[in-house]
Amino acid sequence: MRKRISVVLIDDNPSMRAGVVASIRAHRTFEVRSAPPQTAAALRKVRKTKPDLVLLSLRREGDHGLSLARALHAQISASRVILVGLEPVHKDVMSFVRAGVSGFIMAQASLLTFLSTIGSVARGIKVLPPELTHSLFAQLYGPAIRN
Amino acid sequence: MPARKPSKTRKAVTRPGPASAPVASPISLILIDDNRLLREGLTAMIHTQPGFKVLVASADVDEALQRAREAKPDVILLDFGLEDHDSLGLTATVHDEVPGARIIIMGLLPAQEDVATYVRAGASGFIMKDASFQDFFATIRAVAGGAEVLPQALTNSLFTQIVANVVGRKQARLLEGVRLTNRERQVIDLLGEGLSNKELATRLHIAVHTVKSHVHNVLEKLALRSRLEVAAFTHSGRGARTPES
Repeated sequence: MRKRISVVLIDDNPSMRAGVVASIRAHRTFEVRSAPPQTAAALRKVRKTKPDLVLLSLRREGDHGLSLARALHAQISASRVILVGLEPVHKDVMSFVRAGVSGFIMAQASLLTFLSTIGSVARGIKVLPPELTHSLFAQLYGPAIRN
Repeated sequence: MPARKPSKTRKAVTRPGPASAPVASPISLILIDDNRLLREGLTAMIHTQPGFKVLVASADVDEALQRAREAKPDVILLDFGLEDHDSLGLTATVHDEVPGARIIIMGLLPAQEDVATYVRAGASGFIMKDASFQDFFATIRAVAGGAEVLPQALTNSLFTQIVANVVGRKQARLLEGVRLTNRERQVIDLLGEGLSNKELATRLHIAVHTVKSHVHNVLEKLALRSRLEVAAFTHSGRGARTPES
């Protein structure tokens, strides 16, 4: 039997967290746990469980998500990080790619897209939804040397 | 944020007749590809589709560029692997000189090391070597409509390049505030390859005296004394196109 894909969900919205965990658990391909959004506790949980994937779903404004993504990539690089719940215009998409994030899931994604993205990233495929291509290209085009 | 080409909305024209509902004007295309069989095949294929108009399909870059300047096509399809021309340099040239045209690079393989550089040169979309007809036309329509298109197969390459370029950020920060044009950045890259002014002129399809003027400006802006210093500078890991937000 194929090994199940282990997932840790870090989400700062408890009701959303319960919903996402239930959706993933309905599929036998995955085993999922949740972790609190605070950096130290989240890192502790991921370090302890060493999942294949970390789903990062933070609605709180600020750089917390970015710094957590960086810390996860630096400290537990075997666990691939997916950022969940994005809007089409995202000012930090390139920063998240630089921070080592392997995939993105839009806020409006269907369950099918959600599951297909986490399956792809678990196999080592990077995933950028088409809705984010404009943001990434625009940020990539923004040169260090200003025009 | 520099001026990336604005998204275009398809123009609507009204044709005379009893049922004169507005019809979108065809997407005008220029195709640059030095593989004759492929070029003619693609042109024939495009002709079978409504809503597209091929203005020129040519292997002659100078001719195609001239036509592009005059006709201002919606989209320029450019082959990634031109034998006698640098497709990257040509992308930047087209982006500079035909600002209304959106550029699609064709014929890419999944492990492409310079997707990020092409985006920085002004490409808006990519078509893989093994793309289906459906992918081909969907990409042209999307890019002509103002979207950017990155095939899934290139995402790993692009992410890897973005992460790798983090290394160059420190040096890039030193250059914040230095204002260089796209053309000057092209000149810096080509000086890094050790090209002479004449070779630069040929590669960029501009006059030698124009090249000299660009080199002069680059030296002045970067506070460097010679083209050798510029070459050393480009090899120092910064690269003129290091991505940085």
